[in-house]
Order: sequence, then C-alpha cells, then structure tokens
Amino acid sequence: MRNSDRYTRYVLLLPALALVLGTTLWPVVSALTTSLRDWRLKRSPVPQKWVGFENYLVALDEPEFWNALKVTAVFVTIDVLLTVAVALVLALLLRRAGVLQSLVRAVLILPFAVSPALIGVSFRFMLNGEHGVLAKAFSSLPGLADVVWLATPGYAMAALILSDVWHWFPYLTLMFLGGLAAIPKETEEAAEIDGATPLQSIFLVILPQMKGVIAVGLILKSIFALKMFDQVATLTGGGPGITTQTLAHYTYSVGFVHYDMGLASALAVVLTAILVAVGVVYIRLILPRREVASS
Amino acid sequence: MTITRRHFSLGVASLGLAGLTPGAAWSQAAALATVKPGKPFAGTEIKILCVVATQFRAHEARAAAFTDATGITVKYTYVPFASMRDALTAEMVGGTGGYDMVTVMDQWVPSLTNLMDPMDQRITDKKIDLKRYPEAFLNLGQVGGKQFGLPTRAHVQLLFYRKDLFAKNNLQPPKTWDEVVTVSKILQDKENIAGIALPYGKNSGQNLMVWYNLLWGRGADVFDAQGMPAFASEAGLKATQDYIDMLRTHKVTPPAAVSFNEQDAVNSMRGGNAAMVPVWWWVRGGLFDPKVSKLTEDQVGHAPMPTYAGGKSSTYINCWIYALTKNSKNKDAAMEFVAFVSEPSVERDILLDPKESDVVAVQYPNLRDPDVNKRFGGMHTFAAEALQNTKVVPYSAEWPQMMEALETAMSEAASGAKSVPDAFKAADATIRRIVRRG
Repeated sequence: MRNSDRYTRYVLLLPALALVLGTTLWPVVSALTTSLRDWRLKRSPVPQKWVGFENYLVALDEPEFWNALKVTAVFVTIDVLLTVAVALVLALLLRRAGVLQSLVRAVLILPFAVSPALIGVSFRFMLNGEHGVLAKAFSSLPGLADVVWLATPGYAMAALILSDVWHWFPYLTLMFLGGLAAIPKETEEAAEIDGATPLQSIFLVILPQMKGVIAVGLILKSIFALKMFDQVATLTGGGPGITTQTLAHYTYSVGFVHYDMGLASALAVVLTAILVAVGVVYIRLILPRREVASS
Repeated sequence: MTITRRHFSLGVASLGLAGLTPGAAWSQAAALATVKPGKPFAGTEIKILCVVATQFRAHEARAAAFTDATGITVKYTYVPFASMRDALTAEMVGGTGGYDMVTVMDQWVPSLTNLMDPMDQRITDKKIDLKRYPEAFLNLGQVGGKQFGLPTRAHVQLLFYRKDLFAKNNLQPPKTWDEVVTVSKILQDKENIAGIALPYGKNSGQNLMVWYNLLWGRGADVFDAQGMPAFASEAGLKATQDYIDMLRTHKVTPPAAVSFNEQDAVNSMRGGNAAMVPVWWWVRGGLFDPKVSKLTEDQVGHAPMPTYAGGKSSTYINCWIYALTKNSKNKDAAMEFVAFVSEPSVERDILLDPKESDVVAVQYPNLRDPDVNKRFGGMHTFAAEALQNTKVVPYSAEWPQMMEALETAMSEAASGAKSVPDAFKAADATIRRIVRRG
C-alpha cells in the first residue's frame, strides 16, 4: 500500500470521527468538568469556581442518592432478568415456522415502537383505581382486590417493571429469534436421536449455543434499564415517597428541579461509570476470553 | 362635521363587517391608548415563549389590533406546561435573547431571575396602575423588591360540588373541613359516591395545594418569619393529620386518591365518582364538558374553599407573569405589548367573549365586574373576597427543591409508609439542610 493511500483513508475517516467525538466524547468531558465546578443555575447561568470533588462528596452525603442507587439496583436486577426470561420463552415458542408464528412475530414489534413516556402515561391510566382496565383486571386476582398500585411502594415498583418488560420483551424476542435461527438444526436432531426430551434439548443443546446472544441481550437491557427515566417521570413520579426514584430520575431532578448542575453532573458521571463497569463485568463474566477476542 | 344617520349606519355596518361588536371596539380602543404614538417600533417582531393556555391564545388573537396600531408583530411559541420550566431554563442558560418575553409561573420566578429583566421603571413609564392587581398576585412576581413581571394568568381555588346530589339530600356546601367529612359521609351512604376527590400522589407539588389551606386555617404556616420551616409545628402537624385523615381515617375520598394527581381528582368528579373537588377555578368548564364529563352544567355548583370553624375562607393561588427577558434587544417594544395586553379591558373582553371559556381574571375591576360575575355564576366575587384573606408561600430560589421534600412527605404519609410526624419532621430536616447549603 502506498503511503498516500494509507493517509487518505485516515483523512476520509475524519468527518465521522469528528461527529462521534463531538456527540459522545465532548458531552462526557463536559459533564466531567462541570462535575468539578460549582454551578447552581439559580445563582448563575454559567459555571462558577472549581470545587474539586466537593459535588461527589455532597452526593455521598445525600440519603436520596443512596436511595436512588438502591432503587436502581432493585429495578435493574428484576427488570433485566424478567424481560430476558419472557423474551427467551417467547422466542422458543415462536421459532418454528407457521402462519400464527409469523403473524405474532409481525405484531410483536409494536410495543417497542411506542414512546416510553407514552407507555408510562398509558399504564398510569390503566392502573387508575377508578377506571383503569389493568387495575380492574388485577383486582379479581387473589390478594390484589384492594391494591392501589401506584400508591404502595412494592406495587409501584412492580408497575414500573411491568411497563418496562412490556416495552422491551418484543425487541429481545426478535433478537433471540435471530440467534435461534443461526443454530444448526443438526445439533437438535442429533439430540433427539440420542433420546433427549424437548426440555433437555433446550437446556443442554439450544441455550448453550445461545449464550452469546443472551449475553448481548442482558448487556443491552441492563444499560437501558440503568438509564430508566421516562416511565418514572410519567408513571410513578418517583413515588410513593421516593421508593421508585431511579438514579437517572434523581439526576434529572437535581439538575432541572433543584437547578444544581454541578451536583447533577457528578451524579451523571457516577451513572456513566456504573454503565461502563456493568458492561465490562458482563462481558468478562459471561463470555469466555477467546469469545471476547473473536467477537 | 355632523354625523348623519347614514354615516352612523355605515359605521356600525363597517364594525359588523370587521367582525367587531361595539363593545369589542371600545375595549380595543382603551387598550390601544396604552401604546406609544407614532409607531416608533414599527417593523419589530416580538417573540414570546409561552405556556399552552387558552388565555394566551386569546391574547395572540387580539394581537392583530396591536400590530395595526404599532407596526410591531407578535409571535407566540407555545410549550406544554410539563416542559415549560425546562424551556425557560434552556433559554436562561443559552442567553441568546431569542425570546423577548416569557411567561413564568410564580414558583419559578426566584430561580429564573437571571433570565428576566426587572420592569419597575417601565411600569412607571407606561403609567400602569398596580393598585388594580390583588397584592398577592403582584407579590408572586417580585424578588428582592423588584417586579419581574405583571400578573397575567392567575388561579384561585374553589370547592366544586354536585349541586343535584346536595339538593336531593337537602345539604348545603360545607363551610368547614369538619362539615366536609360530615357531608361526605352522608353522600357516601345515600348516593354511593365518594365525598371528596383530593390529590395525594406526587406530581409537581399538586398534593400540597389543598393542604396549604388547612395549614393556614389552623394558624400554622410553611415557613416562619426567618424563612425556616414551620410546617412541623404542633398546629402544622395537626392540620396535616386532618388532611391525611380524610383519606385514611374518615375514608371520604375515593380509595385511589392516595395516588391521585390534580387531573385524576378532577376526572373522578367528572366520571361521577366523587361529589366534591377543591380545585382551580379554570377547571369549571371542563367539569361539564360533554366530551370529557358525565356531568351537565346544572349539576355543578361552586363555593368558597372550606376552612376551620370561625376562620375565613382562604385560597392557595397560582400566578403566571409576563416578563421581559434580560437579553432581549426589543425590550421597549415588548413592554408596549405587555402594557396593551395587561389593560383591564382586554381581560374583560376575553372573559365576556362567547367564543372563549376562560374564567381567568387577575385585576380587581374584572373580579368585581357585574357582567363577568353574571356569566360565571359569581365565582369572581368569591375569588376577590378570598384573595383578601389569602397568604402566599414565600417562594425562594430553593423552593422547587423544598417543595419536592414536602410532596414526598405527603406521599409517604398518605401511603402509610410513614406517620405524619415522621414524614414531616424528616421533610423539616431536609429543608433545613437545603437552607444551610443555599
């Protein structure tokens, strides 16, 4: 390769590189520098003096921060596992060819096309104790007759998770269907000839081959679950009390309600650090080293 | 020149062709008397960042006459309420002067002083008589003794009730909170309908809006004279317990009220599930709008907000101001429009326009106007009286954060997660921490 060719390809990459840096790296750097400054909008429309790590120390001192971390951890754990489980079961049910399967696959994507904020508003209506269709339906179940969904801490969290599972399981189902389609049919047929039951086939033959796709689904869903904001804002408002206030919602609240941009930036940096850490941990735990290298 | 019958007829006909009633022509003339003669700002365009509300649409509809008289064009950009504070914040941080005027809600005024320009001198120059505004409304546009805007859309609370059910059971609208409980229990027994729809859920402080009246009625307050929290005093906790008891002990609200926001409470009455709702006066029309309500106008009555025995009815108030932006290059032209649109005759014109249904009046001449009161069943007289007794929450730049602590406490107490003293003493500690941090 001639020298000029080598340089040309880098020059051609520059616009894309500038765009990526401008839209991803710059906001992160900006948040990082703002997190080290005192910037309360009620005092000044521009960042003020450098305060080192004071905003981080203030965050650590706020009970609301620890509450938001706890809420986020609970939400992410249940939400991710439930969404992936539902999506996996559905994908296994829909993997065979057939008219019904094709129809369901086509319809399945619709919930994912709905705006998350709108999903929150819709679930709020559906869980309204006076006229909500879901509240009425659940009230006929044992133990749920007198539940006011959005006013009881555990049930409000359940409502939040329910709305997010409903939003996300179609996308993951389609992703898992893609993974299932890539599994060679011979492996299943061989298991069948060897006398494996359908459940044994799933757990011993199919799922091990789906590990990579499931890992990607888990990582993707975890990242989006960690950023949960829309439904908190429109469905629960973080309540009752602050029992459903996630870290993303708390960060927004500190920035745009309390007007403390320095502290909000520190919280955003913490959230970003968690996102990065979760991504790294998932990849290292779930994928063997050589798969990471080859993926 | 003498005016002949032919001239007069032609004049009336031309007004009719222009779609104007003689009354409307008069009000425009009065409002246009405020503008500077000679069109010194002709060719200027004023840009207004405005919350979505029928009243501002009505102002925009009347801007054509202003443009004809001044040569200034007016362009409104509407933002839904839920996004309005974010839009104002973006404008303040951007500092571009992209908008010459903004509408700002009272609670946000102290934290947005970097966006707005004080207009005291301009008010004096335009000879705007501030005595025509209730003091409570004016106070909500002031920070540090400076007037940052003129009240333009303000709300008082009224108790709306089911006139038909009250008449059927020979009941009078309750004057006290004790009577609210008594009347509610009678209606629940006889009509199988919840007594009163109250909001206890978290949503922009909506679960505090009725509570303030109980607090003031018990002689307590949100803050003391030093600006420190006072709501957790003995009287304050008693008032708060009264509010929570309506939900949890007396059970005179719909059970779902524990998560209600203001809209849910209104919907509860609209749907025939509650006999009373204490709420802003602008809600009145929607309570019997056939598109969203099962009720008819005959079924809906209104009364002053209840209080405690021997006390005077009060109302928590909400007020939006028209303000000039600090970085606007057209402040003088924008002030021309503020003066025009703030003229009482413009407000009266909107109130009496059969095409409009907005009840909002912010100036005494219109609150006491017989025609206005005739059209809206006397609610403006109630408002004028209540405004003389009302207190305002002394908002500070930290108020949104403090309000969040209070609404969280209310939500916790309503859901039973904490007792009233525990929830509100925790809120007291949080607010003291906010005050310390500044």
